[in-house]
Amino acid sequence: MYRKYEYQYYLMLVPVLAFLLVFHIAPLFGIVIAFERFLPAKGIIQSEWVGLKYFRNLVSLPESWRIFRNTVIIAIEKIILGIVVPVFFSILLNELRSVHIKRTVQTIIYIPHFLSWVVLAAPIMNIFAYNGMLNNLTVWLGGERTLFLSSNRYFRGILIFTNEWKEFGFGTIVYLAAITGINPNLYEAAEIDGASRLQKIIYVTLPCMRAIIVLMLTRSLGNVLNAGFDQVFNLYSPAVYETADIIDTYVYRVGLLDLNYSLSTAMSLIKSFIGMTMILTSNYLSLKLADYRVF
Amino acid sequence: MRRKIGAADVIITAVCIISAALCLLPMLNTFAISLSSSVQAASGRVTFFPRSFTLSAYEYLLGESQFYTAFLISVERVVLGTSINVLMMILAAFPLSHSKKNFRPRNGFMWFLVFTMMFGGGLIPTYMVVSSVGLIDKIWSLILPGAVPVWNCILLMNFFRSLPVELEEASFIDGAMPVQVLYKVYLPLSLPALSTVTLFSIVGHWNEFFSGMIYLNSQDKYPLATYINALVNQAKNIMNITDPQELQKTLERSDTTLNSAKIFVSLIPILIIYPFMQKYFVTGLVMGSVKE
Amino acid sequence: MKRTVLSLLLALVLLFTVMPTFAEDAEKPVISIGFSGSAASLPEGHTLDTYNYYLEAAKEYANCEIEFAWNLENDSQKVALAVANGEMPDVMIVDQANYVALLDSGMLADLTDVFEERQDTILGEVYAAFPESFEAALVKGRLMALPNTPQQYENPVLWVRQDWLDKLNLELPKTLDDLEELMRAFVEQDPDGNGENDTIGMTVIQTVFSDYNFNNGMESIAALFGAYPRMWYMQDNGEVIYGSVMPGIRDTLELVARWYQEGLIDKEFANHTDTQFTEQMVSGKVGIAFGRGALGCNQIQNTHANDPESYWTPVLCPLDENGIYYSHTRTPVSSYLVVSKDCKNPGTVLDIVIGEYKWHWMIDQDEVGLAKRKEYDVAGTLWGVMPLHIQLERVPIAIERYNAFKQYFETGSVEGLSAQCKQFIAAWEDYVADNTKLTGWGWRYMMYDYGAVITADNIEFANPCYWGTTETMKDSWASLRSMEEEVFVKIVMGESDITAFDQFVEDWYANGGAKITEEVQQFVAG
Repeated sequence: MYRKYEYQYYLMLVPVLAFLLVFHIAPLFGIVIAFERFLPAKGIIQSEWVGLKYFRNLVSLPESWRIFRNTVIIAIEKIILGIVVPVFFSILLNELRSVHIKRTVQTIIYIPHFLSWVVLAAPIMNIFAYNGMLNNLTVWLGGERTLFLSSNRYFRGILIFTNEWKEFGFGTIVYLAAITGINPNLYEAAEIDGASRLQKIIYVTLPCMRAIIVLMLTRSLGNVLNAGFDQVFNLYSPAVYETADIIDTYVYRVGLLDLNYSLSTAMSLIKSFIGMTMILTSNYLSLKLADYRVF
Repeated sequence: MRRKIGAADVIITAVCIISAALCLLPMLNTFAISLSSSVQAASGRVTFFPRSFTLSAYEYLLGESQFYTAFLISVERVVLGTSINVLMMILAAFPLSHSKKNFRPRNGFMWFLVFTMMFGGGLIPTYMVVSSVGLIDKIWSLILPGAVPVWNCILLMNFFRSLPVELEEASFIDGAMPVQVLYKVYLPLSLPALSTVTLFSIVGHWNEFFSGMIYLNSQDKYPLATYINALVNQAKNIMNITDPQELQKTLERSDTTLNSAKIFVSLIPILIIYPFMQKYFVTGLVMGSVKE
Repeated sequence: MKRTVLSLLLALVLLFTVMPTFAEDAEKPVISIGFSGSAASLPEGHTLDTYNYYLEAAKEYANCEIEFAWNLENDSQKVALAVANGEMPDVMIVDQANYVALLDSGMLADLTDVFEERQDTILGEVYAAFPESFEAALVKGRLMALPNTPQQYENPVLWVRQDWLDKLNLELPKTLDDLEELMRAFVEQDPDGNGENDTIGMTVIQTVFSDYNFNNGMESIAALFGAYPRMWYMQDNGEVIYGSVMPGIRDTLELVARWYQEGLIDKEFANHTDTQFTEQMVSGKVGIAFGRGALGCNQIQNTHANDPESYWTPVLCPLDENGIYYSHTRTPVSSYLVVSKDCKNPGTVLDIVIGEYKWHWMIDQDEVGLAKRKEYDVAGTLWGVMPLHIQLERVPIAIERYNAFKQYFETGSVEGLSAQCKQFIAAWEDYVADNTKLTGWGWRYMMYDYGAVITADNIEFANPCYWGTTETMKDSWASLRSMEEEVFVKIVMGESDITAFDQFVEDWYANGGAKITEEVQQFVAG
């Protein structure tokens, strides 16, 4: 039966593959730019081939190292918090007695997920400004004003925190739904064994959430390298390049503001490799930890 | 069996309510600024309540035709873009949800999809392609390059995989073809998952600003997100107005207040759509991922 | 049979594609422009891309049709991508980096001949007055672009809130110490009298030093210490040096860092763009700012509109012990009008520029033309509307305008002044008659008050000796530039101490700076 109709599956995939070929595969040939001294009028084919010059260039640049470091650190911190906070919060929410409060909280906390960084940048800057709310609060508590947004000590923390603030609600809802789906018999059995509230969470709820946690982890691994640009771009300034400059913002500055197409493409290529490693790792991990094949 | 409300419950409730409140702060702040006078806004004293209350930003907004235009373009983009996205996701997810036994090259296609997700040619080569297929300055340039959202395809595929294989086999015995199986069996059963990916697609199109900035040639073709980005990131020339009355008005609603008003209005459609989708959305996300 | 039908069809298709061109005036060439302009306020019915007086004047003079390849307020990304893609409209205006990229790719038309044909128009006049700019666009003796002309006498001076001075019984500052004292007074003595400690001494640009001598840069202080940031400077010994690594920068940064530490300058300067600066100034929080003349008819005029008590005075400060104010001139060229080598009528492009400027400068205009021009002045429509607004001047306008106002104030007559200067003075008279018409008020500030200060004879100007792009710059300039910005900001904010500057100089030379300096030296030597 399946053999007979296999052609229909092919037909369905035709438009999908066509779009991917045109808009994803065709531009891949542009990667060649990273290996040549690209001159626009000569085009990709006729520009002078320079081999690994731009990669050597990148390695010798003083800021390259910290761009990689920032990219990876920010990515990893976001991933870890992106799991821990929503899991914790969903369990908390599940323990809420009042259904009304539960539903209201649930509705409110994932609104920020749907707002873009362009929109959020302004209020975030207001809140963390020198005369902003957070500083007013600090002063009221007897502290001193701090320049959060131009301080290398705080900026990365703010990136991670605001990102978590934006995304935790979304994660929470997903985990909460998973918790709701747990077989109530398991809890009853635990209760008969005399388990306390906390013990039920540790021995019943958490193990049952393993699969979904792994899936969400995979999702964030795949996304995290791309998700940074909008946020960083809208919040950073030269004062915090040291801790906030990531591959994407660098590529943007070098490629579009300084017109060094080859250097910028070389950097993108490196990023693709990091991204690939992360996605493959995540697929492997989810197979290993949760016996769940994502692809 | 009702338990007594203990200290733990009080703490949990408090933590939840405070967190929820924190989520609303930035929006409240934006709203308050949009209703304040510019001097108050510039001095950074506006927190959650408007200071020197004025509606002038909204008055001005109502009279600005470019805002309407951008709004309508965004709506058009969301409708066109989401339709194509959802169609592509279904077309990709359904064949790929079959096992290797039932659709032999399944793994090859799957890895192809994953490959496109990992490797991109970067901004400039992509621009060259979009330009050479003649999409520059057309609304399609915001839609076609991202027509296949691979990650959402995978999400939907996993949902399809969670449906029992017997459904399809039974349909085959009744003489149905795969297209009919998809249409009559899979899709009706997948409403939660479909509305999830639809919501993702809507929100993605509504918020995405970068491609508009790059592919469009004139400001009156900008969708709302690109328009707002241009407002926020480019210092606008408010200083060359010479008519004193106009000037007074401009000062009253300096950029900060006007932009806040625009931002706030741009949030409204998302806030309206979202409760409708919310019901399905969660089930959709989870059902595809949790196996018994 | 089949073939006949096919060719018939083909002919039909051809006919239809050709038809519209026949319908219009077939002889008129169409020029496509990559347009980046802004309309502050256009009269009813006028638009940037379909109908306005500049456009009409240009089309009429050049006898052509104009279409816009793009129309964006800020087109830098569009230009960059178009250039990368190897495509360009007939004409657009680009910055140094894009100019070099286009030149390298051989995408530009040679304008030498078409320019020579127009030698006796205003275009010839413009470049005869600014030969340095003209030479900047010559490649092996061929003219590859129309460069802008520099805004001479557009250097920043210190602007001080006069009403605050009066209120606190203080005098205009002269030396660096005076300046510091004044900032302290403005911060501590509540000059706006609202009982709150919310005034800022001085605003500073995000990058400490500005690129083209723009507002809020600390260039004048560096110049006092004998350093010229972001500019290639020829030392007395004949050696070229990049201004930002000169020892005087160290002193400047150390000083500004101390001011920052003591709360005399804007705490949040590192996060502030021009928008926030304008907001701070207009809302009456700022008392001192370095700025150019145009500050007068923009921010200062708006501050005055917001608070009619407010008055600003431009002043030369800081002066050295001999009473000299130091500043550096802008590079002769910062933008280029480039024509595609595929453009069929490069001469027409030049005619567009001539046409729009003849109208702008009110040359050979009849009564109707002048009335239209007045209409734009009243509406506050600016030159950003021009289809090709490359900045051109025939004489240093700052001096011309200052002299015009001076003549008017001294003699009460406008005899012999250019039509444009007469308009400025008419606007001032409008203000005198009705003090809500602030246009003339702002212009007077910009042209007369500022003009008097900037044309004084106790200023010494340093000139840049190079402003192009060398081979090594193409690869390393971006990274050197971000390193510079970052180190300077951090020093001022106290995140790094002043030794970071020494490290920066070392790194700068090690990471391409030495090579670039060598290249520039070679270029300058010829």
